[in-house]
Amino acid sequence: MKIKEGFVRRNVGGSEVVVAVGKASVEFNAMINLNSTGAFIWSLLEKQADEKEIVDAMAEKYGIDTELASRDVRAFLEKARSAGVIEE
Amino acid sequence: MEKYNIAGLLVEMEPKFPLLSQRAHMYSVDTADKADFSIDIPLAAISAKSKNTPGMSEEACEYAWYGYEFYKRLLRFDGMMLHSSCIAVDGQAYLFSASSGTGKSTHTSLWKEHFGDRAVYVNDDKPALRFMDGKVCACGTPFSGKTSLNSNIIVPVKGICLLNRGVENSIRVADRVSAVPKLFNQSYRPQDPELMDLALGILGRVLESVPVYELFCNISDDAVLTSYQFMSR
Repeated sequence: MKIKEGFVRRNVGGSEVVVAVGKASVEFNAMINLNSTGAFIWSLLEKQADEKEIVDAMAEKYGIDTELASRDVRAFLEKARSAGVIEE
Repeated sequence: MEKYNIAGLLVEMEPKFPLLSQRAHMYSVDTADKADFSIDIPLAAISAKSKNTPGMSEEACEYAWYGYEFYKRLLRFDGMMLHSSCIAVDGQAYLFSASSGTGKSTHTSLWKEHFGDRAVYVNDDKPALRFMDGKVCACGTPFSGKTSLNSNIIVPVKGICLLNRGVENSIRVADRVSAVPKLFNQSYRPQDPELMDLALGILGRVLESVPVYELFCNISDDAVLTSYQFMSR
């Protein structure tokens, strides 16, 4: 699982955003706002982490149990998949 | 080729149709200096584009396309286009940004009515923003959309306002996080990764340098007072 080619993440005026360039921008021309959790998950996806690795990292970083972490991760991945941002 | 000074940049171009040539006339300069860049779109390409775009004459195509090319190149000169109606009052620029049809121009026309000679249109639809001596300035350009309301002036920006229709008038400082995509959606969107990087960088610096407001307004003089009093503080 990884971020599709053509998605660029950047800090703009203090907020983390993602936009598409090149071919990817034909299908996706919105701007995604990442909150701090979103930015954290995004950076793991950039390293091609799988879902379990992301959940474990989330649980550790935020000091929450894996059940709660996995709910957050799943919700994020669902949104990212439906936006067509992820390649399996 | 003819030279024009647009937003402080020396641009070479050769308009073939009256719309572009008339609107650009005010920016024409007679100089031997080397141009910052030239824009040269072959007539054949304009004709082809016009044929493929229903309802768009060759003249309209030329005007829109040169504008597009200008704003694309502007990114390399520390500047960006913001789709907004921009008016200057007492030498300070105020920009009202929103999607087409919301009422940007209607709002600035009320400002013009209210302030008379104190108010000057910078550009009614697509002003250029440029960093000059560290300050964000709004620049008139010939590319002002449907109207010819633009002036060959460069004015420091006092504030940018996200405009929404409202029953009553109210204004507040915009939430920075939600302002980013709203302003991005009203700016030129490059496909090229390198230009996109520049565009996002410039937008970020504009947001850090200039206050951004969110206005809800109706069509009245009270709407003018609401936005002006808050933004001019």
